[in-house]
Order: sequence, then C-alpha cells, then structure tokens
Amino acid sequence: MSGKKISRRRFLGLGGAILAGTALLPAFGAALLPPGGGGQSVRYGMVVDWRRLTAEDIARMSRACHEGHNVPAVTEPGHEVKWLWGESFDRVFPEWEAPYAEDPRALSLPVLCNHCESPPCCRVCPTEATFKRADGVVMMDYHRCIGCRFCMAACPYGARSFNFTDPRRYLDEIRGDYPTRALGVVEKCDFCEERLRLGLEPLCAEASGGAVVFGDLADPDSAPRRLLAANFSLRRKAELGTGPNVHYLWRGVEADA
Amino acid sequence: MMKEKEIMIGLIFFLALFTAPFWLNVGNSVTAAPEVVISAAAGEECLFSAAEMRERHMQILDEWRTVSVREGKTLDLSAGGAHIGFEENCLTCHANREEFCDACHAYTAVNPDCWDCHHSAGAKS
Repeated sequence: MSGKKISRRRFLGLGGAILAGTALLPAFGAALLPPGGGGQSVRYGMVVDWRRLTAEDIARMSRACHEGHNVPAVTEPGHEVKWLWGESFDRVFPEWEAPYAEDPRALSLPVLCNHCESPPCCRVCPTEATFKRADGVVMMDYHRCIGCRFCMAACPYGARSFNFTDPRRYLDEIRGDYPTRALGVVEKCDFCEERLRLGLEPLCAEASGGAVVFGDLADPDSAPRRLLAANFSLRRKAELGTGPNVHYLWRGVEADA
Repeated sequence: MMKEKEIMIGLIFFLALFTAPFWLNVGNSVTAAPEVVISAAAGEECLFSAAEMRERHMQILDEWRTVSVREGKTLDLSAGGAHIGFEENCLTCHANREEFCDACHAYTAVNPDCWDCHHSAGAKS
C-alpha cells in the first residue's frame, strides 16, 4: 500500500454507498444467485393415517421394509435391529394421557426414523457418519460409522439399532441388491433413499395400502401437505424441538372436540 | 568408565536383530504377482483404462462412495457422465471376484471390507 490519503468526505461517501448497497441487497440479491440454485427445496416427509392401519398392516409394512433392506431378524433381547415396527399408543405418545379412552395399549402405530429438521443424532455423531441431506433425509454413511452409539443415546425415538453381531447370521436369505450392514455399525430407516432416486415411494408407503402418504412437505400442494392442512395431526415429542417429519393424523378428533 | 566390550556386544546383537529379515530371506524365491484374470462381457467398455484402474481404483471407488452416499450424486462427469455404481458398473462384468479382486489383494496383504456389506452377484466369493 502506498501512503495515498483518503479524504474524510470520500471516506464517508464510500461508507454511505456500502450501507445503501447492503440495504438494497434483498431486493436485487436474487439476480446475483446462480441460476437454478436456491429457491426450490425439497423436504421429504410422511403422513401416517394410523387409524386405518391394523397390527397386521403394520407387520406387513415392517416386513416389506426389512426384507427390502436386508434388516437382520435378531432375536436376542436388546440386540434387535429395526427400521420400522409397530408400537402401542401409550409408548408412541406417552405424554398423551387418555384415561377413559379405549385401551391405548391395544392401539398399534407404525414408528420409524422421523427424519427430524434438527436431528440430535447428526449433532452428536463424531464422524459425521449420519448427516442431514438437503432433501431432508437423515442419511447413514455406514462406511464412516465407528459404532460409538452416541446417536442412539441422542435419538429421542429409539429409531436406531446397533449391530452387536454379524447381521448376515440373522438373514436367512440376502435379498435384492441392497447391501447388508457390517458388525459394529448403527443402522436405521433412510426413507428408502435408494427408491427416491428412482422416483419411487418408500416401501412402507407402498405396502400400507394408502394409509401412509409420502411426499414433499415443502410443497403446499403435495399430497401429505393437503392431508395435514385438512386434518389435525401429531408429531412425536415435538416439544423437544427436533422437528420430526413423520406426522400422525388424528382423524375424528375434530368431531369429538 | 566405559564398558566398551558390553557396548560392542550390544551393538552387534542389535544390528543382527535389526537386519534379520534380510538375512532370513536371502535365497528365498520371490512369489510372483498374480495375473489378473479379466472377464468382461464382449462389447462392454470399461470406464477407465486398465492401467489407470490398476493404479487408481481405490481412489476412484473411495471418491464414488463419497459423492454418491454423501452428496447424492449419481453421475461421474470425469468418466464421461457414467453412472456411479461399483456393483452396477464394475461387478456386473467383472463377476469373478476371486481372480479379479481377491488374488491381488491377498498378494499385497490388503483386506478391503467391501464384501462385508456389498453382496451383488459379482461380490459373492
């Protein structure tokens, strides 16, 4: 830098120009962004019309998921591996007490990874083996997982399972092309990421007979958003601020209110 | 006070131990590197030349798994926009894992854990 001096008048003038430019940026900023980027974002989510699902329906969905992803059927207690399974109402929504309703333990709901907006599992993962994709899918990179199980401790929904044993020992048959997992990694639902690439809906939605509606929650005209607009719905432990993207429809509650 | 004798004995012992691998292998024949048996469907072209593959397949596969799993990319533009897929792209043709992969890996004492999870037809041992 040479010792060139800047006059006070010019300094103040430049400062004012920068201030004015910053104020105008929101109005013209869009023109500066690269074309095609930004703007359109996808946020995958799921609406479960669980009143239409029987325990058999949920078992069928679970089977479709587990067979499609080569999920091992480990029987040892505490070592089970699950991506999607049925759980009784009082365990899915423990904060919702309904002492005079029909037996909440008799009601079964499908539960899976909620693909949260701010997933605590991704925050605690020391290797970024689990991460949130731009389209909302909370992905697992099994190549990077070191099996520390921090994510399992962080997940408020118990949606993650650890492979305590070689999972292939518990697969009577390895189906399809979906890879199995290895000993010592954590696994979970990935919203059928391999099918989304091909434009197909997740296996559970396909096996649910229309009771599970999958789609883009960022699009107000998508099928799940229309359902959510027209019905009351709940998310699991939404008060924790994780922002679950799996919604449970509460049909009939409007009539009762 | 210097214990020269003890030091010399110690030094000789150390050098003998340190160079033992060379002495023990003098006269042993060197195992020849295995020939890679390439079985590829006729008319199908590889994404990269054999020389490049031999040299860089681990980096290519590592890069592929990163961009496909973490960035969701399915095309490799450096390979002429080829679809990224170790199993779809490589193992469908090179379906002889024992000769194509394992022979060299065993020779160089490399133990890749690809097969713990990937199980397509070509990945079966």
